[in-house]
Amino acid sequence: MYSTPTTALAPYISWQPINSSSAKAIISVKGQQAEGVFTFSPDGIPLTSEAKRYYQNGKASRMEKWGTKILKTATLNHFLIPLQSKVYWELPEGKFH
Amino acid sequence: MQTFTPFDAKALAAYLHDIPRLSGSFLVGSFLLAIPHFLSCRPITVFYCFALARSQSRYADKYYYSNDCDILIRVCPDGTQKSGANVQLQSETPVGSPLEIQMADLEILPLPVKNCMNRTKVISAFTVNQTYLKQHNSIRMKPGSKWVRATAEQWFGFENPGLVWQTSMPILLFVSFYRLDWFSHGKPEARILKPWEPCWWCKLKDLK
Repeated sequence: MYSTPTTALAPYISWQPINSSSAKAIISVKGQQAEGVFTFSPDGIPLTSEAKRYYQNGKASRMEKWGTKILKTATLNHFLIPLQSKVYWELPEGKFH
Repeated sequence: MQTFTPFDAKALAAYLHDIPRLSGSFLVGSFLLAIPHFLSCRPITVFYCFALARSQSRYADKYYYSNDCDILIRVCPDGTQKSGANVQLQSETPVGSPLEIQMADLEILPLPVKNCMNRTKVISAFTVNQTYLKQHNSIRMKPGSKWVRATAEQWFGFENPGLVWQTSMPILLFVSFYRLDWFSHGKPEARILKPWEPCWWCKLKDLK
């Protein structure tokens, strides 16, 4: 959503407010559903996104929280989009980034 | 030039699936070419064979990765020292039927998302149907392991939602691992691609 902001209005995405700085997006495609939480600064700058994703450890995989923290944004071709970001896993054994 | 308009993530993934093998075939060819020169102790000729193989495989990558999209973003955010001069952006002809976004369209969104849409300037913009994004990353595979530099490319389709993400991680001078993830028709899939695997080894039928 952050790299192509117009996607927020796609018909297969619904939004639920969480608080004044974050909201949950639910995507439904061909019977599959997934959700992610997006946070923003008070002036609308995108800050983070978090969702559940399969984490592979050896041959086994399990659903874990996966997130992106945006470090730098810039206006490119009209849209304000992230230029640099840091990705992390929140695992039971600790944060992995 | 191969194009994927309208966006079809599965077809694109199947197409990308073949590329490492193409690069690998150049690599194998260069090895075969280099053997007699190596045996006759002509190292400079061996070097030329490898350089030729590398340039050919890069050409193959460039040729096959081309894709039509609304926004072509080439971002090189290689640390904070990079300036705007390293960012290139090209606009391509829009595909599909883009719609102009109006203020009233944002009324359905929660307030923080609406603020973000205003900030990111989507008002009066046209909906985007496809996006191509190139990233330069540092990746590590497990906690505490060594960081590896990688290049990733992403294709998004929004009308029929789909995604292809391909990353390449160099492991030797001429050899890279490729990882291909795609989401098509509501189904996610991922595959590790090894450049030395011959085509017949890979089950391409389930991709095409």
